[in-house]
Amino acid sequence: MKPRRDRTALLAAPMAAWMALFTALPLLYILVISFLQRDETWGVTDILTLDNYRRLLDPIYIKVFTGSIGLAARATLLSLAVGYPFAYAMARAKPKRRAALTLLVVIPFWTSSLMRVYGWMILLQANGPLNTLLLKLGIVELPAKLLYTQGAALLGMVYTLLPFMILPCHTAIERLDPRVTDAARDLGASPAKAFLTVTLPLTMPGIMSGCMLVFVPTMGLYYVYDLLGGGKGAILGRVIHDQMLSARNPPFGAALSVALIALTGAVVALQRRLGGRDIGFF
Amino acid sequence: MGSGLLREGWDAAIPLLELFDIRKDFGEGDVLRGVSLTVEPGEFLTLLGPSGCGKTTLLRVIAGLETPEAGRVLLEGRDITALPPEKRGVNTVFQNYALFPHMNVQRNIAYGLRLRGEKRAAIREQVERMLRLVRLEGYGRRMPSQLSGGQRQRVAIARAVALKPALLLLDEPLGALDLQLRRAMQLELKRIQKDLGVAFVYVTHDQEEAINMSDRIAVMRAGRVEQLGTPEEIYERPATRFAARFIGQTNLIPAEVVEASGHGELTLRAAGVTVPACGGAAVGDKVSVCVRMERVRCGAARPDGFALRARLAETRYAGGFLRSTLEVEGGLTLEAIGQDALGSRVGEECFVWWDPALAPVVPAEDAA
Amino acid sequence: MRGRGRSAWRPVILTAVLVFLYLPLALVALYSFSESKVAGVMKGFTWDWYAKLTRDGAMGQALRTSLRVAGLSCLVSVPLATLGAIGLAARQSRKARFAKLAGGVRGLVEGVTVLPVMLPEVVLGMSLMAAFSMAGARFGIWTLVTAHTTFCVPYVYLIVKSRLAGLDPQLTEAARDLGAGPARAFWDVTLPLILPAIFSGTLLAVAMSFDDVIISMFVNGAQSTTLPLKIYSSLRAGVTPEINALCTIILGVVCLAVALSQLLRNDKKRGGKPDETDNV
Repeated sequence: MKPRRDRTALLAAPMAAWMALFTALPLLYILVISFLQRDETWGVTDILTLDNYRRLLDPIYIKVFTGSIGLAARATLLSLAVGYPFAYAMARAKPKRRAALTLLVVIPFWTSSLMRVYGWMILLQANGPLNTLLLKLGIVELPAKLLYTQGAALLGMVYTLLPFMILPCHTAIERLDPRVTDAARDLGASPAKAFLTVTLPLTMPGIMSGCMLVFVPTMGLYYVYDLLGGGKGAILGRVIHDQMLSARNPPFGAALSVALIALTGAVVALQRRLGGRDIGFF
Repeated sequence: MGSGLLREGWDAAIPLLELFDIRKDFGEGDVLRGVSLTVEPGEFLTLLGPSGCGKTTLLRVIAGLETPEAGRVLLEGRDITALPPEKRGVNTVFQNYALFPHMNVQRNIAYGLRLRGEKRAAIREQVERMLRLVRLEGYGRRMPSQLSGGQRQRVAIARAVALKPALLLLDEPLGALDLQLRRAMQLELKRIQKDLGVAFVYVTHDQEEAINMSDRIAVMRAGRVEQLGTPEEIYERPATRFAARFIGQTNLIPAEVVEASGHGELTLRAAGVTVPACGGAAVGDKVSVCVRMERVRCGAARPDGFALRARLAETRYAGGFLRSTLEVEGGLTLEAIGQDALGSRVGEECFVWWDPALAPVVPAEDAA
Repeated sequence: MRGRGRSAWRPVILTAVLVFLYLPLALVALYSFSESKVAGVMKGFTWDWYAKLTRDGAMGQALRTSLRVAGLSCLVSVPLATLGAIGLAARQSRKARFAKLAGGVRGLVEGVTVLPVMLPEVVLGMSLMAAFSMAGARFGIWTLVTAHTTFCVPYVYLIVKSRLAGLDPQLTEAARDLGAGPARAFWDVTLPLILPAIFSGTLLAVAMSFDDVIISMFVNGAQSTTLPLKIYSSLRAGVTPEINALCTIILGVVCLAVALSQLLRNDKKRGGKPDETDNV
């Protein structure tokens, strides 16, 4: 009966319109063009075809997909291995210290990601500090090739996305009442057993959130991959970029994107299935 | 000071607030299934009931924060059912105080006055008066976060009464305070109410609070008013099993009326024994006899008149008094509380009796 | 802090990860003062690279473009997202018939709004590029602003929404009860209490816009290169100390902004629902 409530909801209309116009519509558009034939210059014809999707099954692109998923999986596991213990230590620190640590994790997230990648380029280059150190210690005879390797690319991904793993894990661990672990210990569980049977399952939503936040962007963050990996091999983001900007084949780029969206959707669905709800990142 | 805040000039014949058949089915709150009530000027009326009984929803309907699906709300004879809260002239003390965290105490109290467009000097004066009323002189510049729970409570009251409403609504205002503070604030609230002469509608689930403070109590259950009356009426003449149980500690003995004198004196058959009671019931009615625990008498010698044979089964210390369990002939079990051990030792045979005039009957089944 | 013995591994992992996070940043800053032309070799101390940077016209142009894009996209995205969060947080119509419909619309709007957070950036970038080409838009500053606005809206929206959800609804009710109309209650109570969230949302939007590489790569025009794009093309060519200087400046600005936003965030604790822990 109170009309003011309905009017308040209308405040969301401009945002709804904007996002419909610049997110929903473009996505629908690429879904459409992914079924169309490519035009010779830049663009699309109105001829329907499944060729773009057939081309995804080409071994070259299969390899791109498996390579990207593999890289993303490795980056996710590595981030989890580093991020979870860190988040745990952070959550169990004294409140003041915890606030400071949270800030320290967040600051790199605010700085330019290019700049952070650049830091690694300096560190890993042939005459860089790491090689100098290795030479001095006599571990290597000649400067090792560290930069422009798959390892460097993986490191860059982990480095760029680590805060996205730490923060949700931290939120989950912080919310966990430490008394439940105490209760497990009290009932006779060893510390390891208590962790595995109580802490880990209860913080699973945070882990799942973190994994998703690392896994999904990894397949697209091609500039990190390029700068540290030296552009060898290809990840999905790079291929989409090239199809749009170099090969000028929007329909195939669109088909790749649709596949990437499907993959992302599958990961999100899996996360929802395993970890339940979203954990507050904001 | 208080008399200056009194609202004057209303017609004594018109109740301050009238609720007619208020109903509410949808919404996040509890349901109301036809509530009618009146509140007289200057009265302290308590809505008492367990959580989920609809008491807070009813308060919100009066405040204008909820709109009823049916029924009317009249304030001083004027229909305010459709008015938004800001146009009602009724103010509320919220459950969690709802002090504006970004305003200091002064600005919180002055908020309503400023909206009303009063002059600065008048506002300042009224704020000072309110701070004195709730005994928080000198706290005007504090932020709510710098106050204790009891102090916040006082500010919430000051803010609500600063507008001199004819009716103040209080939603479990003492719920968040510890027992000591709660008792002190009960007296404090009563004093403020007397000083201002303002009518209170007070929501609580605490029977002690209700009995200590109220002029009248409305016992609510499942969206209805189960009984409305003075604390004494409700205590002495509960209308239902629910009302009898919710206030005070009571034995409820299922029984059937076998004799009714017409003067309210009843004789009943309960679990193989015959017991006396009082109240309006006809022969053959299924009822419950309501015997307050502190009114159960017990002794080794049989008194004149009504008494039942019993065995003192257990006695427990309950802080200042003893609580005893009595196994009565015919398989009845009664609980009694008293200062002493009822003159018998555990395991001993004794006699149990009560004053029939203080043992009313209530219907055996409560309406759903 | 609690009775249990402190594990030795905790300080170790905390230190190790922090070193891992900050070492590269520290190196960038350090080498920006090195006299050596080869980035990564420390020799002497100089401000030359900073001086050289200020004379670099192309860098300056890119910086101006970036600032303009960040400013304009904030100007659009913050009001859009703030109003959106307020609108979607409004209480639903209580009529059961409409509640379902309203809930559905709300869910859909919210879903589309947060979509850019879930999607890989490359997908949003390429779809916007395709859509802009179809619409015949000229690629330049306006396509950049539109794209940046689009990916900033969900972040601002989520921050403001979480603040609104944490607000005690009794506060606005109290304002109404004391005589404020709905608009007045919003202005006096809700707005001051969500302002810190709006500010931190704005800061985040600026930072995201300023940092974006992928989406900008798809929607920029020949005349509108943003700073990250410019840095990216220099980095692909190799590392130069001039970039070190630039990155150090950015790092300084970011630290300042983070400090500022943190001050505002501490404000957030006020006005929350009782017993509600802040999960931000």
